[in-house]
Amino acid sequence: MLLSVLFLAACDKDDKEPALPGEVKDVKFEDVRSYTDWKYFSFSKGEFVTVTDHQNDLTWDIAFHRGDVRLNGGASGKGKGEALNTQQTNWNAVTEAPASGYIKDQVGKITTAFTGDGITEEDQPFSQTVTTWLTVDTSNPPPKYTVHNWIYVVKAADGNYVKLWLYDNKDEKNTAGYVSFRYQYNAGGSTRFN
Amino acid sequence: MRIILLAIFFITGIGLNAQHQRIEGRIIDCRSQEGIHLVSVGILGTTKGAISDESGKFVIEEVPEGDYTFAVSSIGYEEKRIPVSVPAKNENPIITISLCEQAIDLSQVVVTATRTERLLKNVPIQTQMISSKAIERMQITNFRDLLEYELPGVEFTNNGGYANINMLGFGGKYVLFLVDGERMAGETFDNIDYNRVDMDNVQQIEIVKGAASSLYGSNAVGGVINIITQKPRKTFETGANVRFGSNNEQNYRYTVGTRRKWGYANLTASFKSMDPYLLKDREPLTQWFANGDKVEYPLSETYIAGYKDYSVNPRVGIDVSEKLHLETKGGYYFKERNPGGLDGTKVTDRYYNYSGGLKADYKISDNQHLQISGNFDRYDKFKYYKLLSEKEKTYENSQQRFNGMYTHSFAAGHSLVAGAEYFSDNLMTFMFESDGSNAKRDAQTYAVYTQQEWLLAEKFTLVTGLRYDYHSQFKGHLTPRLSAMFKFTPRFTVRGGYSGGFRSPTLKELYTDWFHPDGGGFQIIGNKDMKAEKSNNFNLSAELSLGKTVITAMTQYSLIEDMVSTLWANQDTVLYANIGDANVWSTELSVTSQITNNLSLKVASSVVTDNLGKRSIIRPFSSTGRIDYIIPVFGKYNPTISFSGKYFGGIDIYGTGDITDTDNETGIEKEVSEEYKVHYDGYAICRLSFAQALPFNLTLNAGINNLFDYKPKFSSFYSSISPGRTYYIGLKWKL
Repeated sequence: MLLSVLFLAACDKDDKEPALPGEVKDVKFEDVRSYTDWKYFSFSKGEFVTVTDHQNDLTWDIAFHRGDVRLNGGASGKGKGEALNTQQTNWNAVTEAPASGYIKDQVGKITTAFTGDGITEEDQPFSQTVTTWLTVDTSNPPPKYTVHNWIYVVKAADGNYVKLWLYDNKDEKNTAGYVSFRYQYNAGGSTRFN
Repeated sequence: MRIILLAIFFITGIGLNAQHQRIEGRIIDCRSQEGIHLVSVGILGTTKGAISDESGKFVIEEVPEGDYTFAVSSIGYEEKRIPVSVPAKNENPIITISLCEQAIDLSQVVVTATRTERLLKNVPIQTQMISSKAIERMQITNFRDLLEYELPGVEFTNNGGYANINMLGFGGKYVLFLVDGERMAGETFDNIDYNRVDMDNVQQIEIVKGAASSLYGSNAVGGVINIITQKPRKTFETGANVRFGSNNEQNYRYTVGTRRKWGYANLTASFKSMDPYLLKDREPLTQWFANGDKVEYPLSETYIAGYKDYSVNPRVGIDVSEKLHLETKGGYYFKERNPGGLDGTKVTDRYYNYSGGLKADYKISDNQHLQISGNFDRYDKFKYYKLLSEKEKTYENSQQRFNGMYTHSFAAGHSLVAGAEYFSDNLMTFMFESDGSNAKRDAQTYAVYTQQEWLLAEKFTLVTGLRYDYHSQFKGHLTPRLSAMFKFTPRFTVRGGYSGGFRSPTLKELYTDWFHPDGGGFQIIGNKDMKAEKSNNFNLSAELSLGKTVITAMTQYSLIEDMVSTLWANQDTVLYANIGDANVWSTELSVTSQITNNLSLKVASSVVTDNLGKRSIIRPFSSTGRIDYIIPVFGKYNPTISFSGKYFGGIDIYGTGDITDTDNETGIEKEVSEEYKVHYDGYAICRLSFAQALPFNLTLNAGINNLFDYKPKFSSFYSSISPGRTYYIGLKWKL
């Protein structure tokens, strides 16, 4: 027992905060097909939460609207949410949250209706960084979806680091408008991931 | 000539006239001195003839004394005419005839495009043929590639991951694919499942372009492609192939067959597979707007689906008596299509095909035949959800066809075909689902048809045809046909004609009621109030045979009335409707040359135009070419090299899109709908194949597809789906 404590201490001798990385979890095939409503998720609770006023609510960390993603920060909320694209596509290659380079949500155009009439766009706040996870090519039907598999490091509303990988925009039957993602929420504030 | 041909296939009965002789003979290969099977021997000026057996022997009974000319011909051998004197006395002469193998001369091949057997050069309706030899040389294992490489006017586009044919300006619903004269059920965007065709089992493929034949239905304005499969020729024959290629391409095939006095039987089984592969854009797809704006789409990646399929096809033919021949065949086919990428790890498509047929051929007399056939073909599609281990049926198509046909060949060279056909098409698809039932829909067609060939003069043959179709929804319609062949000289033949066409809308065009989920979604609705399409089709062709070189020019023009297409009825509804008249004009020029015994060349080009203007999606120009060379180094084991290529001209595809326009006076930006074009470059794809015959009946095959590694700048509907340069190697064994 003593030995193991010593061993851990030895390992962490450069770290002043010996906080451990959080658990790696997956959310699979969540239905976010609605063009009108966002779906809000809390990394700390590990579940979707009901939010009525996203600008002033601190219980949510990330939200989904089709392929669009919103973080609780910047123009989207009063939390500390912001994001960085590590440009890595290998989950295991990202082991440390970078110290800087995080970008906050801004207002931009998102699609709020898509019918035979065409596309309706609206100005809404979202994360321009994380929304790059999916490209939709509508030059010829059917729409061609490209999931880029970037690994992002984002900050939750409370400022804790989260390693995030969005890997699928379809459900088990390949219906588009869903989201599957893997995340590691460092509740203790650690910058390390595994 | 005509008389001989008729005679060839009908052996006369028994007579007791003492003046008559029984003639026996044997046909041998001039090099190997071995007997040749299935050689036609006909006596000119009579209706007598025979076909050689496996040892090359033939017998012609009851030949009156006199001097005759025997016409001897067989596929792959040079035609020969030999003077024979039949003496009055009972000497039973035995004659030996030696034939030399001919490199390739398609004019000698018997085709059935007019339902009566004719040499290709004598078929009054312009017919093209792809021989098993050509398929063997090119080593193409995929029916789609074969059509694309051999026929200049054929292009396959990639509609959302599914191959979509365009043949001389016509889409899949205007092209009729037949296997031994029978239709194939199941379509995807009006295309058959091209994997169903086992290339190693093809005897020949006969292509009648345009609506020239009244025998197969009046839908097929674009053409009829009839795949004739192989029948056993020897007492015992068997073969096996294996082939491996890039993208984990694997092919295995086994066949076994027998031909006996009682008839024949064979069984083929095959397995083919290839992994999906990824095409990556190198340049953005760019929409060019008339006002000078351009919209560049981000580079994307496109998966081309992989497949695993297997099939089993038994067939038995029985000569019940001298007059009655029965044939029955069955088929089972399964394919799993993997769309590739992440999608492919969750959902695959599974296709099941069951088919069966029975055919009776009754020889009423030497020159009268009655053929009755019944055929059943069913094609089911399922979505297979791997993660859920669930299977969902999305499509079921079954087709039944009964056909009775009478053929009569007259001594003067005339012939008559008359028949009646019942065709039933039953379809269940998820696209009929808006009433929640995945309802089945069906349509029946009853048809009577007749086609006559009149040899009006030695050089002039007239073909008249009449077909009456009664469709359960669209009632009756009569389509006439008239075509003529004029042989100015034995070397120069002109063919031309007119044919009417009548196409009842497909079940999908009538009954679709489906919410298309893409892009917010829209409803696609069939239309039961449409009129059937009618068409007038004209064709003209000229064939010049200069010894070893044949030059063919063909042109055809089709005017389609009440063309069925889709229209936006309102902002979220697409409706099938008669959109008006359309015309398609195509011209094709081909040169085939047997330069030496070892070297042959084929080049063909086509130009297609239609009146759809900016809605046209046809690459107007395309060319094909092939050079085959037998390297004369090892005699019997000479290796063969075949180089073939296809060129597609470039095309601009037009569409409309929303762009932001700034008003010059007010400076206000607004969204406007403007026309744009996307340019698709012309491109060429070439392939090289090599075959080396080895001892123990083995042949080694190897080749390179897409030799010069062509890759499109971006992948979309009208771009090549080739993965770039790929390789394969295979081994064939044949006993």
